[in-house]
Amino acid sequence: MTMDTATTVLLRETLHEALSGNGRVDVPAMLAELGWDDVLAEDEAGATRLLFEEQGRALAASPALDAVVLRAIGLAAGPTRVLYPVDSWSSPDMLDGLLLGSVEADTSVLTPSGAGTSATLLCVRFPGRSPAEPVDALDPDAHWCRVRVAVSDAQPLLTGEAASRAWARGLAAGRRALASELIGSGRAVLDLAAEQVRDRRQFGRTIGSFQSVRHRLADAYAGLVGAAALVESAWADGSPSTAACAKAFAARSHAEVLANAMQVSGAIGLTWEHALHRHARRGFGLDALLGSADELVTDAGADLLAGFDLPRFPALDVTPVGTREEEA
Amino acid sequence: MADLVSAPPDLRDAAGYATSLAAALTDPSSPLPGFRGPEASTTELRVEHGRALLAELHIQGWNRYGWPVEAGGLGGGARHRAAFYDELSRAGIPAPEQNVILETIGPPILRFGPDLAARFLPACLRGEESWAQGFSEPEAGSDLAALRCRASREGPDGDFVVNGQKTWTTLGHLATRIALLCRTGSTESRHRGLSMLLVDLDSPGVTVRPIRMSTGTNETAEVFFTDVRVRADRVIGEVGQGWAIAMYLLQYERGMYAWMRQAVLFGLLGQLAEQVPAGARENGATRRALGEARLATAALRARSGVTVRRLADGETVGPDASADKLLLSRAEQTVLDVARRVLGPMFVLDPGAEAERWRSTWFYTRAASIYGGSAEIQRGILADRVLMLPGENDR
Ligand SMILES: Cc1cc2nc3c(=O)[nH]c(=O)nc-3n(C[C@H](O)[C@H](O)[C@H](O)COP(=O)(O)OP(=O)(O)OC[C@H]3O[C@@H](n4cnc5c(N)ncnc54)[C@H](O)[C@@H]3O)c2cc1C
Repeated sequence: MTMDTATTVLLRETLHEALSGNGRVDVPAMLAELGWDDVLAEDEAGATRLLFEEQGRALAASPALDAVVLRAIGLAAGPTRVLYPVDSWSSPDMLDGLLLGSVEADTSVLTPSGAGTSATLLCVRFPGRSPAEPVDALDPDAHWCRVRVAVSDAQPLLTGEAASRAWARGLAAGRRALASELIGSGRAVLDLAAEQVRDRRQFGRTIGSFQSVRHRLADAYAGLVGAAALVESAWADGSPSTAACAKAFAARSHAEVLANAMQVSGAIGLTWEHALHRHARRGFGLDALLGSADELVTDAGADLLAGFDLPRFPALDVTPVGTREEEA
Repeated sequence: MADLVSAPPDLRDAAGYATSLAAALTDPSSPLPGFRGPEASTTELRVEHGRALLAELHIQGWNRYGWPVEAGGLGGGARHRAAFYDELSRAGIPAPEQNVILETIGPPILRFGPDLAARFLPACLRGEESWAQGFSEPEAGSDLAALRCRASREGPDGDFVVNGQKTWTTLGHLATRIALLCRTGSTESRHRGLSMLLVDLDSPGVTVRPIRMSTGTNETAEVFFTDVRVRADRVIGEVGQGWAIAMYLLQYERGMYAWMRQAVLFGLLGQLAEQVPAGARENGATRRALGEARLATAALRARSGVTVRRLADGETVGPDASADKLLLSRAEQTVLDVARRVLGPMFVLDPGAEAERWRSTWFYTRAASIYGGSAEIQRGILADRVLMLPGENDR
């Protein structure tokens, strides 16, 4: 099932309003109130895209990503949160990664470790022996924490191929959601820049009438629509490789819209007051979660060298011929 | 409208059609696998290959899906045609060169000139004729509405007499007919005084000269018209409707064409991956470069797929198709820039046909940001009509 346009618009507005509380929204409570599980049951792809786009646009912070990853992994019961590994921190006997926001006492947290046949999905009771440490240097509004747990304090839930397949599903779903969040933030950046160049006058005319300014924003727009289409196909074909491409392309498009918006906004866009830097900070953080664009691009190239098989394009199948008016 | 009542049920939806076509294209007992690449080295040979391929596909009906029964097809819509190009590319069979133009001009002729489509489109599907798109002129490139090629009405039958010149006409010297955008109003009427005629290129008074492009091949042509008589029934749509038809057409030139090219680009990426020199395969820079190329192509595929779906559902895509065209330019040029870098000395030094194909394709992809409205024109359209920025002449 997919939502119709009217439902989509309504849901987008509702989410937009609920999330625009300046980063201090209790997103899980808000979603529970909206009856989010029913919304997901109706159109998981559409609803998830909307939620994360609006979260990105509003610069809201929440552990909503955890629910997406856990849902895709599909354990019947167990962990309710996720600890995102940071490879450069972790070691074979120490789990070391990021939590999105704080956790209450006695929460069970899922985290992956290892790869391939030595992969495991572990469950950690939290808070464990080591307290969470805020990670707020770049983006304090994201409320991330660093957590270290000894592998010996964690309990394995799945091992080997089963763990690796389950985590691949979680990764793909998480990357699709993060791509949407980057797109939402990117659209907010484009809107801010467009508004600025429509208002600001120099040389007796609005700067938005200068071709170089117009063209920068048009290019940025094309990148964002490409990213949005890729997220849609990643949901439709379900393939981890399309999900990885979607996240990488979204991060690239975010960086592009940001660079162009910062340039055309002039000094005002570089002030602490202006939201641009907050979108930049959030964008860098989202890029780092679950594989940066640079890492994913390298993987995409390695895939190609290994003889990658292009998934058939699912968006062509949605409406069988004869059920709708065709152009022909 | 779709009429697939006589088609087997599994071919009525594009997915089922794609699977069956994939099997047919690789069926060793059929002549179709014999059409596999590599692509021929000249435009003339590619069109010849296309003719033979279309004739063969037509026998089994594969290339008739997606076109209406009244115009020689078997029904279905743009989804079938999109699946057709994707499956050809997967099977390593170069798509018929002439279909690039058919996909651009076919939909507007079906929509605005169904009688003309019924008369002439069936022969295109059989591979017996091909068309050309006559828009650009020496003095009317980006500023298309400045075109001067004139069609004047003469005589009691309301026939037209055409005088003027077109240029950069893709496959012009190999085509049977040309969709000619010409002036029927006053010179000052700009886009209001334009009409579109379907003109036979073997008419007396037509001279066609191929133009050798930087690819080394005769991709385009100049077409001269001197007192060429065109019957009144060759107007596509109404007199004066030319601009509206051209705008309708551009959605296909920017959407379906982009889809056709993503299929080709994914094929090229596969070939490139096989040809990366052994010493460079483990190299991080090679992987990153290939990854960038794949990313750009994946975005093009996703976006043009959405656009094709919208066109198939009868939606007006309008100015939004300009984003597809920008993604197309980026993907085309990124893939071939990466090929040039990754292939290294082969690209530069190798005299062989394979290396020449990469070089020629590199030059071909430079045109992606020029034809169909240059990248600058697309950015202007997005700025004006999608982002609603102030116009370039606003103060
Ligand atoms: C391979 C190929 C195939 C083609 N096939 C066909 C065909 O089949 N049928 C057909 O009718 N035409 C065809 N064309 C022609 C194509 O449509 C024109 O080349 C295109 O419209 C640009 O016109 P031009 O080449 O005269 O460039 P110009 O209009 O002279 O433009 C030159 C440069 O100036 C820039 N420029 C122009 N105006 C502006 C502006 N307002 N703001 C900013 N920059 C501007 C352009 O973006 C471009 O970069 C083909 C072209 C090529 C290269």
